[in-house]
Amino acid sequence: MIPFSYYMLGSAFLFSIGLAVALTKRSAIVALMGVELMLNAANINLVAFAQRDASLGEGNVFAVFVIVIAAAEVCVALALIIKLFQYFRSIDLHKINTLKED
Amino acid sequence: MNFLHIIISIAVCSPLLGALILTLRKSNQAADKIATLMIGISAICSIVTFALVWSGQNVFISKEWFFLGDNYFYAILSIDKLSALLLSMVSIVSFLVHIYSSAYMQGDPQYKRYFTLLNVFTFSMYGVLLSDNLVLIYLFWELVGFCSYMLIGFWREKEAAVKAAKKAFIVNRVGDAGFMVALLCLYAQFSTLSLHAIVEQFDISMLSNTTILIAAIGVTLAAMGKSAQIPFSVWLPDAMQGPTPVSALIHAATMVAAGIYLLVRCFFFLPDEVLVFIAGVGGVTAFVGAFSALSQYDIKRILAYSTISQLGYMMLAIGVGDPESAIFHLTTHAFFKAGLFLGAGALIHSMHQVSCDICKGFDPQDIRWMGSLRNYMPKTFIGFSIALAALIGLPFTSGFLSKDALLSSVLLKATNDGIYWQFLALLGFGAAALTAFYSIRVLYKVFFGDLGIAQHKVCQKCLVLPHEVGNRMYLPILLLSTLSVWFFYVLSPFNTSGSWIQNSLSIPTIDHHSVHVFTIILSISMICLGGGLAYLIYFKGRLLNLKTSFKQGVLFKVSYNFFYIQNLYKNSVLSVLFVARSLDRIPHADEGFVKLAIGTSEFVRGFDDKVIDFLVKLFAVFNVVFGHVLAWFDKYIVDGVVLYFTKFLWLLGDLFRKPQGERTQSMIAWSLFLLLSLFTILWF
Repeated sequence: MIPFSYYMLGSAFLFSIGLAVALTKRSAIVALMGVELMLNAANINLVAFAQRDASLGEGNVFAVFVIVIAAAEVCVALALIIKLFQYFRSIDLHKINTLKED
Repeated sequence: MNFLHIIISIAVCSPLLGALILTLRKSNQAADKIATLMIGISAICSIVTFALVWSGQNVFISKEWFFLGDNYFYAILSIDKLSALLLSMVSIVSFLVHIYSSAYMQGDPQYKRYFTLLNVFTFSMYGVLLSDNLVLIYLFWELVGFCSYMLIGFWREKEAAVKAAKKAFIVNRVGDAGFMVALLCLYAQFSTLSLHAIVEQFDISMLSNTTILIAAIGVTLAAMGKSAQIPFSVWLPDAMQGPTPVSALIHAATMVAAGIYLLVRCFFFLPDEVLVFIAGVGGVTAFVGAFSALSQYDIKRILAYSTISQLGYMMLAIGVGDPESAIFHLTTHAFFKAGLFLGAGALIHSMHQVSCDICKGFDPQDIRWMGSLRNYMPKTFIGFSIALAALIGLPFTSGFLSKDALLSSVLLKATNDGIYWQFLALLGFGAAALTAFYSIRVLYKVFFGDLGIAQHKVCQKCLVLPHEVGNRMYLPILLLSTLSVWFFYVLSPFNTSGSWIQNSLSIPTIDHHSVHVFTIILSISMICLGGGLAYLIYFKGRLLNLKTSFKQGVLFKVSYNFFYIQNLYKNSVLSVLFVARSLDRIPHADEGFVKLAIGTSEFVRGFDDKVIDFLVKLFAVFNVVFGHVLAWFDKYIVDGVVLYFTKFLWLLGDLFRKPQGERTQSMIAWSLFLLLSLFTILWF
């Protein structure tokens, strides 16, 4: 049996990587991938808590919800990115700055 | 603003308005009608004013004008009985002169200019009469002088007219300098130039004050200039060069009256020494003027000398301390002298039509060309002779009344005081005899005798007999001569003291009742003497030896040349020029002067170079250095502070601006950071 703390550590590690990717990468798609990583880290947490404590059995259901929402979110995000690309001819987040006041 | 104020404003402003309208218009058409209408309105309003003021309503319209230091000057129209009386006199005479002029000046190319000036002339005289502030009186006084200058020189193409205008102007200027000095002295003494304020501040002990004495002398000089007293009288005979109606206005109502009026207004502060002087000037002028009128041939010159003489009488009355009689005489004289001048104008007018181009040297004003005109111009004859009777001072005329009042005062003074006054009284009564003489002479030469022009050989060819003038000309003359009858002034023709003018004016007077009858006897006998002599010589043709011997004598020349006053001025100027020229001729006389002048100028130049320039330079350098210091301070200290302050604010702004989204990702990072910080704070 893998100790519980390993799940926690793995999840935290994964979340940190996702956060770092989302904050530092220029490409919108890669940043989106970072967001997915963070969502999955949350999923690992949910499943791990559900396994450890039987009274929290609904955790698995939450994880499934998260996956579904993530899939929907990716659809929307990709659509946005395509639109952005059409407008700016680039998906570099540093260049997409028209909402910013100059 | 009550009814009276409005009436007065209309009376004063309508001539000015008339002048403005005439100035704006281009054509000569109807200029006379406009001007006469305006003066007519003014005359009606003046008479209404007079009626109201005489019943006891004094008017006082005051307006703040300017201030000098702490002293406010007010432009005040002040109308009392004196100014109301003279206001209506001026407006009536001016109105009649306007009507007369519309006929007399017919066809003159400068018709419009003439009437404009006539309107302004009347207006400025109003200003003199109604102003309370002496500065304002002075302004209008100058305006009167200016208008007379323009009107005397009205016919610019005549050289004599231009010269006469200049002469009148310059001679008056001498007197006006006295006025200016008087103004300054009065201001120094009272800190105000408002007459009513001066009257209030004045008390009798000030009469011994030197400042007041100088002011009094100055005012006297001014009055002597305007009223053509000796030695300033040279301008008045020459003023005849202007159109005759203008002469009527100058001699009767406006110009010469201004001087007498000013003296009467200022009478309260005239010390006795000055009064003695005024009386002397007046007495001498009365006699000298009358004497000079004896020998003149130009009808207007005779009348001019007569005016000088009559003004002398007024001055004499003021000098003996009876300004009321002076004003009385001024008023009556205004009407009959205006009548005489308009009559003379009518004579000249018809004589002009008699002449033709061949008649070289023919002078329509010369009484030697006239004669028996009563047959041709009966209406003018009647008007002229009534006015002439008033001038002589025959009983039943206004001239008799006022002259009698005036001479009574003089006689009273002469009986009470010393030999000086007796001499002046002698001059006064002598002048009465002379007046009678020259008046009878004019009457004979013009209206009786033979028509002079008929004897002139050249003019036999073109002789047209003179004829009566139109009704616009003889009606004013007749009206003025009507106003010269005693009836308008007092009911009894011999008793002056019952006159409504006398004893109603609030100016000093002398009760001369005691010598009244004696004066009448004396003055009538004087008139009989002078007039009788003239009657014998001219009408009866007796005493012709006396006449010829007088004509060849020195006295005739003295009289004809007005006592050589004119020549005296001319010669004194010429002799100064002569002395200056003779200095030129002395060899080496000027070298010393030149050396002295060069030395002085060298010294002055050195002083200028070394001292003054150095000081100026020092001052300049100091200024430049100081300027630089100021510039440095401004640039580095003041500007620096401002600059650093803005930089600080800029940085502060940056601090808040950066997190707010330079990039989407840093925004997320910042919000995460803040969220974590918040958690951390809540945790502990």
